Amino acid sequence: MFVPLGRIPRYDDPREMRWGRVQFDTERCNGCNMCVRVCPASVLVLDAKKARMITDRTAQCIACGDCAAICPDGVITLVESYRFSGAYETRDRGELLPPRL
Amino acid sequence: MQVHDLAPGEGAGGDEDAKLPPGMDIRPPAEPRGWRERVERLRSERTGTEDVILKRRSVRIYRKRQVPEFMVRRILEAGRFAPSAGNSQPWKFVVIRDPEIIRGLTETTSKVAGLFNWFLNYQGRRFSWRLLLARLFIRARANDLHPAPFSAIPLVADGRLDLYHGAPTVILVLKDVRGVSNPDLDCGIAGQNMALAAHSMGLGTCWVSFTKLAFQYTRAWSKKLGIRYPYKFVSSLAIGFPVGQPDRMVPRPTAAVDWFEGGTKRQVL
Repeated sequence: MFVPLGRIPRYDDPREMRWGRVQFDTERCNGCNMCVRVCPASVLVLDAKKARMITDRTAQCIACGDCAAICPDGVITLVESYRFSGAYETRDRGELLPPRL
Repeated sequence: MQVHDLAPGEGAGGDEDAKLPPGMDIRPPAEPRGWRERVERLRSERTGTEDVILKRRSVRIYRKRQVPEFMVRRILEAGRFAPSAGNSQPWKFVVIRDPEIIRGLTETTSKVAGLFNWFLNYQGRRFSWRLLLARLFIRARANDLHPAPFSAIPLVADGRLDLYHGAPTVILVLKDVRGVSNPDLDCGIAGQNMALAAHSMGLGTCWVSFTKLAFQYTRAWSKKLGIRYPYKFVSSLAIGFPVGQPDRMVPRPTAAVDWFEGGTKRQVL
């Protein structure tokens, strides 16, 4: 599909694109490396036996939550989803919530 | 748990059960009384089907162990019984269990991604002139170059991302381009059936559409796998035994829903 309108955002500019974010309870992380292995966007690394997110701006977390799901100790929480500006503006999305009844 | 709108005894069914040929008597046992209470109970608990849908996650690390053939056949059966427009069943499934083919597909995709990456890489001072080119290219191929998995293109181009994550079995979903109305969607429905069936057997699945690059921009693989008119690649499904326990409910962004009722419109989040 051709997008005729809207500025194409710079893919490396955090003002035009906000990527997902996960939080680690670093105290409880036992460094099993599972999250690093499942991450489809390769934004997690193991640093001194503790997993963490790469803070480099090329790191592009797609907020899929696979790391949070596979973590055997429940150390990881997904706290932020991605947002884009311009032609790819994210619309009609609300806050992150678990499934509701 | 079954929930029917009809009260027990209403609607079709009942006596015909005895006449069904063997293998087709898979309907659930007759509904006992008390469906109204059952509907009430739904306010506080989820059904088994909902649980499966909410907990199923894409699996991205697989065990090397091959999936038994009978299980793959059963998964294909789940796809065969999917609903489709006009019951046209506009799909064809290709099962690939040769690691060389899976590796080859990944390599070809990686080459095409490398070409994409050349056009799109405007990072670094030397390449900043490509920004304009990249913007035009992204505009023209808005779906292929969506920002969400954008970091995957350099990863695939460098061969750092194994597209099928080491899955021992891959099912390619092809559409019959002459299908009724919207064959892509029908293929998606059949694919979801297969993914849920696989999940129920304790298998992990992951949708991989990246290989579309290998079929869309090169001829070699369509020729090798005999994919020709009227069939066209839609997506593929990696299947295998998962490493670890990937099933868990994870938060997702809520999506605004427009709700028309009683002559007014409201938005539900």
